Amino acid sequence: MKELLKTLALECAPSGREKAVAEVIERTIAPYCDSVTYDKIGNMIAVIKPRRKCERVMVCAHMDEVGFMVRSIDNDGRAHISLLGEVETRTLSGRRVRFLDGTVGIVSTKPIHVMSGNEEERPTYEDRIYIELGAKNRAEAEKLVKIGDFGTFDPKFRPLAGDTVAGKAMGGRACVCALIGLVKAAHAAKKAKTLTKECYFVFSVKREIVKRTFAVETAAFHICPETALILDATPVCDYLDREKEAEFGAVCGGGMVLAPADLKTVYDRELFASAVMLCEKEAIPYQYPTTASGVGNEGGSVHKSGIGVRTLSVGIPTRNLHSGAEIIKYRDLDAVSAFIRKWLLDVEG
Amino acid sequence: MFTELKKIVMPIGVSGDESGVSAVIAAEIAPYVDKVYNDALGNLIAFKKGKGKKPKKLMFAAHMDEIGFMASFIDEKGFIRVSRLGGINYTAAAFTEVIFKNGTKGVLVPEARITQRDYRPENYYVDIGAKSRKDAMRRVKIGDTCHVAPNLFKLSGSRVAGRPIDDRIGCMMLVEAAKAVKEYENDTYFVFTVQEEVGVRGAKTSAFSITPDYAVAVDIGGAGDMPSCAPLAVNLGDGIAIKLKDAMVICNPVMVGMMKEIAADRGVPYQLEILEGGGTDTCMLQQAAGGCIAGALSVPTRYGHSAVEVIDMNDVAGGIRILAGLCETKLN
Repeated sequence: MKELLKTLALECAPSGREKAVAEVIERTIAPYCDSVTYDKIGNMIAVIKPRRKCERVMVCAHMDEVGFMVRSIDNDGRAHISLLGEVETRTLSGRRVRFLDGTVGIVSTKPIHVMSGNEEERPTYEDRIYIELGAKNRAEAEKLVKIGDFGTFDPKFRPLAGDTVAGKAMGGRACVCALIGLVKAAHAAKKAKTLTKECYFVFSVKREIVKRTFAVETAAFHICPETALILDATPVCDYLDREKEAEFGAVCGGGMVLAPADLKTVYDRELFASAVMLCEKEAIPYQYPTTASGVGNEGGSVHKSGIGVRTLSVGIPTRNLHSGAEIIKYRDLDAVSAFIRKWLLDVEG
Repeated sequence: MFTELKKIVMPIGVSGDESGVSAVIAAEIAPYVDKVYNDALGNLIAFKKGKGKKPKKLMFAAHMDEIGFMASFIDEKGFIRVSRLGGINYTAAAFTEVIFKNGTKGVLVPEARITQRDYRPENYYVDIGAKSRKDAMRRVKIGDTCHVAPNLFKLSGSRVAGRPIDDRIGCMMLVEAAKAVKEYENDTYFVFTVQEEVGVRGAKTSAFSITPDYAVAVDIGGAGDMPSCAPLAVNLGDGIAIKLKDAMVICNPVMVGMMKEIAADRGVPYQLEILEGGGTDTCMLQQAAGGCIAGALSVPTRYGHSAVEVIDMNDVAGGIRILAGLCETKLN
């Protein structure tokens, strides 16, 4: 699984340009699936189902990550950018950015030495940052990047001590990794004739750039599942300056995150309660999110699609979410993997 | 009507956890319709077949969920932090009795040193009298929902106060309309929607599965007759309000016209509501699937989202007559 996570983490898939990651996933899962197709918005839908008709279950994880897009190039050869998604802007300057063709640039801004008082405290944002490409002028820069080019944080797979690993988009890719594992397990279950659900595995696109509805809605509408499970990275609260006990919640290494509700979804009561029971019974480490008012994920679109879908959400606690170095622990990924196998297939992780 | 309303007001049904109130309403309406069922999200749908060939589909929606709270964290001393579900007025919610779905009672209070200016969700907790986290967890689990204690009492004349009148009054009106209809000219769906307070979610999926030709939401509206309130030409007791617009919908003039006509025919007084803020199920009814001709009836209400919402039952009675009138009108 570590090798797969590494392969996925080293690919770039800014929202709207997920092809590189999609190819890795498709290559990996195709031998195990009845079919792998794409809907018109780009969501990959992999199907494994038994002969007879039974409950349709959709499990999804998004392929994309936050990123950058070139919006203009000035006479001095600077590339000005738009942010794709909620990029962690406080730690941007000095970061390496890689465009999809491999061109590398550095996020640059006014030096900290000449910043006045509150300027330092203010986060950098699109108008105050640009990408330094090393180009002398506009003509030279235009040879390297064009308006509309997509980039991401420069990929890196950096194991830290213990079971910790860091890199851009690590939370999201860990979810993809868990879902790929589930695909393989479903295939094995089908061969063993123990598969009792029609399984639709959705690797979705454009999750990071949308505020209200998500691109996965089209896949959910098409599949029309009875039940859905959303996998996503969840922010953690083991930061330094938390003030109150009430801010306590999910921490890195504390197990998979089970949310009763967030701002976009009140998760299905029975699914939530039975998920808690399943974790208890199987001794799968689980924890609750920082507050029950997390901003929400693709579940917000999935549960309201079509005639309505009973929905549950499971998260991998991720530190430094949406930064150039997200941090996760394998034990949390293992917990999620064990849970989803037991939940969907009733087999051991 | 007060007794019928009280029956529907008392059960708990916080957004996303409506099974309690759903069961009560289902029992109330079942004798008057052909079929009663719940969908995936929990919407309660009561169906009554219309007469004749290929009748049009008419859908009514009143949301059965209420604003409330969800336990999100329990500290070592057994105090429970709660996350909000819906638009909570924290000034109104301070120092109130709350009740969890399993009957556990508690009090919702702001932290001691918090001034009213800082009334925010994270500064509130529920005290159920527990001695420790372990003690508290025997009765409340993370994800459990609670609401400010329900209540309903009579004020002077035909006026009534309590909570959650939003929108159990609409639910009661649908039930009473179902009882009153003499003959159904249209295939009629009485839908008691879920999760309106957290973003009109149940209306979207139920309207998608029903694909109505005509739809009417019934909810509480505003009133403009309290001391120094925002201007609004709606007064308690002057009649049910036919909605023209709110922040999320412009009602279809065909539906507005039909309801006005029925009101005039049957001698029901009405007012017109133009709300600057807020929204109801109407916006989703109008947009679901291929869209439909949608409108709304609003019960003029003072002090919405507090524990003392005030309405006038005469307005309610008029509203029920318009709803029954729609059922008895052949729609094309």
